[in-house]
Amino acid sequence: MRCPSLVFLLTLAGCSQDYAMGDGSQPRDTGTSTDGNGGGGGGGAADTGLPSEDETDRLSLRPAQTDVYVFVANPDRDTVTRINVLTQEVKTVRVGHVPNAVVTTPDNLSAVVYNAGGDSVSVIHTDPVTKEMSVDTVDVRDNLNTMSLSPDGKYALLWHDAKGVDVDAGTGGAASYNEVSVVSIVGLSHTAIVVGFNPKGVRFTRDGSRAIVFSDASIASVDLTGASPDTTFIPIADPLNAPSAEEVEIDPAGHYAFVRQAATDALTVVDLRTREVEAVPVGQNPTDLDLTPDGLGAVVVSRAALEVSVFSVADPFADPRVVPFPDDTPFGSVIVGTDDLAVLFTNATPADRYALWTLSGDQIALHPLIKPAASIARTPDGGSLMVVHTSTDNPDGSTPLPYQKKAAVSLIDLSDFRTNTISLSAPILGFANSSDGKRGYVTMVDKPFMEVLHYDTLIYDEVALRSNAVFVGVLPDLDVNDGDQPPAWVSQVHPLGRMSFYDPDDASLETITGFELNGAIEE
Amino acid sequence: MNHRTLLMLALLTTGCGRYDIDPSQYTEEEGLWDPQSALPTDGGLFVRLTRAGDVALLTPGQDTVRVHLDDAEIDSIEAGAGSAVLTRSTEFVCDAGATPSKYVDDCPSDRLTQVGRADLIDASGSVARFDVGAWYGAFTFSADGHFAVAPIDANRPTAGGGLVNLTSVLVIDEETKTSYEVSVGFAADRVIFRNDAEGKAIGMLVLSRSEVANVDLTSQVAVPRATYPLTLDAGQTVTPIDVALTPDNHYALITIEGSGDLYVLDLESPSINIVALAGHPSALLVDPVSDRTYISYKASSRIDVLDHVRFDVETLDVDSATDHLIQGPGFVFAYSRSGALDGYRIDTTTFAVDRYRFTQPPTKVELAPDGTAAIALTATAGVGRLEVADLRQVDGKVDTDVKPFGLDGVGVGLTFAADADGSRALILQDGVDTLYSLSWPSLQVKAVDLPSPPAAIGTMPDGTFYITHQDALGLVTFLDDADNLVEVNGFGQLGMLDRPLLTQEEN
Repeated sequence: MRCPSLVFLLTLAGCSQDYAMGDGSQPRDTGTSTDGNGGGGGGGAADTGLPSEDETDRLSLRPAQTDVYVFVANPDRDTVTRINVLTQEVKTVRVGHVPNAVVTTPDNLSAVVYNAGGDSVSVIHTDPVTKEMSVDTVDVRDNLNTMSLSPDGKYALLWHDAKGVDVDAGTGGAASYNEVSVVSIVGLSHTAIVVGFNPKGVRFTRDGSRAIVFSDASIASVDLTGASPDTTFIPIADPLNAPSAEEVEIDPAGHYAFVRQAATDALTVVDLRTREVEAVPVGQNPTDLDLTPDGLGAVVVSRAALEVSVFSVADPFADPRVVPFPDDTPFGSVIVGTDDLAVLFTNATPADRYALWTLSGDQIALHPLIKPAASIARTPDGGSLMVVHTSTDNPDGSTPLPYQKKAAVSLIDLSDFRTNTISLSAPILGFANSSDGKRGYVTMVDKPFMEVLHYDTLIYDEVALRSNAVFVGVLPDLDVNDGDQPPAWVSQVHPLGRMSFYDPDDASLETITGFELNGAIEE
Repeated sequence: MNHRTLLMLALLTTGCGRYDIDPSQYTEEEGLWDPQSALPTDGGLFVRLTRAGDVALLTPGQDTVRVHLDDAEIDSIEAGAGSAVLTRSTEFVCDAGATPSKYVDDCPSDRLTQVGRADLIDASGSVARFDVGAWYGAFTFSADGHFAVAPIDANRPTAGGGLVNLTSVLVIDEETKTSYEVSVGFAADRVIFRNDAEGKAIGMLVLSRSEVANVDLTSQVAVPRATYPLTLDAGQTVTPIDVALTPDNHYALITIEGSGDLYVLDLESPSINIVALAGHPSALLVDPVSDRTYISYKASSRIDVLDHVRFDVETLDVDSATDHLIQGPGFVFAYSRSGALDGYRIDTTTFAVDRYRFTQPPTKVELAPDGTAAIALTATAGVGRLEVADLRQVDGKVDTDVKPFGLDGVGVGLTFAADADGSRALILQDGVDTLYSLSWPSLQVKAVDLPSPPAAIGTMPDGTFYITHQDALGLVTFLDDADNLVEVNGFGQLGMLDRPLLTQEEN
């Protein structure tokens, strides 16, 4: 399953929040070309030479939000700023050295900050009555760069992502690439564990009772229910010739971990109860793995084999249902909706089409794209698709002139396939959906605009910002019956910090600038 | 070391100082008083006697009062409060044993030291004195006359002051007759007071280099309540230029030198927001009725209107750039002193803009006390005019025709006072002995012949006009409602022959 970024889904169950410098979340759906060096089998003709599917979130320093507040880390000041989106009240607290990631707990009472420069984690508590903030800090291991928070907000795992940016310069002495810091947010305690070399990612069970840290040759299953974390080490591949582990999904019951490995012809299934590991055959070069929203099926896209396989989560070792693609378009990504409809597309090659797959009837219908897709998403109500196009044009020259060599986004009504393709002056940088699912908010690279996409009409509005946009988000709706929609926020480039708040009810925009100065106010 | 010694300024007087002058050799041309120093108060008009180092209190029809400090020379009149004024003066101290004389000119120059002080002075003399280091600049006064605050002037020497806190300002509490220093920030140069609903000063903002201090004045000794940084880059200097308070005292609006950033400081819950303006503002005016701030730009033909809730900017397009804003009742008048001919009346309720076009570029514009007219002194190539813009609204409309009047010379002074029939403006002309009186709205003009060329003009609290003249022996004329001129003269000679006295050191 994919996590928030340019590719987004209706449900994020079972997905942890991963925050890091540079690359941010680790890529999880990156199938490789079959002639790569991943150690897998050969690919079909359609997949030969294709690059990986790319869903990497390259944004860093993403703000975190609760129901009312947005938290922004200020790594140059060793502070975190809390902004009340409703009142624009700004408070700043000092945390550890070089805070570069901040996430919030589901109860909206705490923000968890990874201080990369100080090798520590700060927990900012907000008093529910006084709203005053207090900070506790726990030391963690050094040479880490990524933080993953459990869905219940009770644990944060800090690990070293080889694709991330190393903010921590280290001691200049020893360094490990196998260590993970497990921080209890509630107990403010730290436990260091050793996992497989070069961990690729962390997944949690839906109830947060267990974390899975996966590496190429092994997974570490961390039991978080005891007084201290209890780690079980499970080999999943020959350590002498382990394929690259790219994605792990855990079934809702927490019984199985499904591991997708690059350039193989199998899906590795781990029984977390018995520690049994079995490679289940799939088509060549699995490039995407998704659980169906009901959690009953695991969907694997095999790009080289030009097919998609559906496994029963209840009996993952049984033969899967295999559905071939209707033509030789090498779809490598899948998005499974709640309505029996899935979308197949690829961004590894400039394809001029995508496919809609009706799961119950195994029918796959092809639909044209005006330009190749970088990513595709279902709108929250499922009624439309949003296609983020690359600046590359269709290979057959069918891209109309206004869109040639330009970034673009298409809104496609799935009822009648009406399409509004909007030319963009720069690639999309960030995206968020409104709470009612009727709008999307889009920002572009190095552009001072936020585009508001209306999913019902397929029309867009442009909101001018004070400076170039960075991150965009939407607060949850605190009262769904009050008729008001919560504001969207968009952080922008400014040396002293800038954030704007867009009220969709009256299309007004408020901007606060310079909030990083607040940390230096002396009272 | 006593306090006096700590404040001692070791400035050595030179051989060409004023006390080397033989009073018998005095000539009129050197001036005995400063015509630009006039300061009207409830008790009369104070002027500084430069020769005597005193002040004179002038009241039409009454004897002139010389206010003399026995042991100090008054250097300046800073401001008035009620019937009193605050003066800055210098004490002269001769080293013990240097001379048995009590006169300054008997003390060898290398043994003479000067000490700064301030005095609150009324007709009876000094009612309170305060030690003020010479390094402190001009005082700023609260509107209620309670506080006077002086920042350190970086151009003045600090030698002899011991360890001078360069981040301090000096606060004089005129009610308790005490003074004390408050540390606010380096190179402080602007002070604005915060008043409560009754107009009583309760705090002040002090602008300094890259910092703004919000100082609480309600405690016995003022203390900074919060200090706001204007930058986080130690290598960057952010110089605040202008400051205004929103009517509820909740926010301070601060413009920055060379920048289009408007810093909005939340004074209640200390925080900072920066509003991006269209450029560097040329003027900032807070309208308390509409609770909005009006912003003009020298380089942009627009007036921005900033609300005080969301700090959103609405732009009013005008035909030319402006650099001055004047508050009127229900409107703001914008004009330029940079060569443009237009003035704009901006209705603060409807934001309707009415354009007035002067025949020449204005050099000064004043509003009638009731806001029904704007009178401008305009000039081009030595030709001066008086131009009247009728700002009255009739059925929601205004007559934007400007009525020009030719002057004998270039207008240099303009002051208004209300009278029984409306208001009256006095117009002072450069080097011309004739003063013009313009009645509004009748537009009747009277010429008033003056005894000598005027230097400055102003209005007394009772509405009487005063005119100071370039007369070495002292000449001020007062003009009442009936155009009666009352001359007060010769006061410059008061104390002119007195020898300045040394200050006797405290034991």
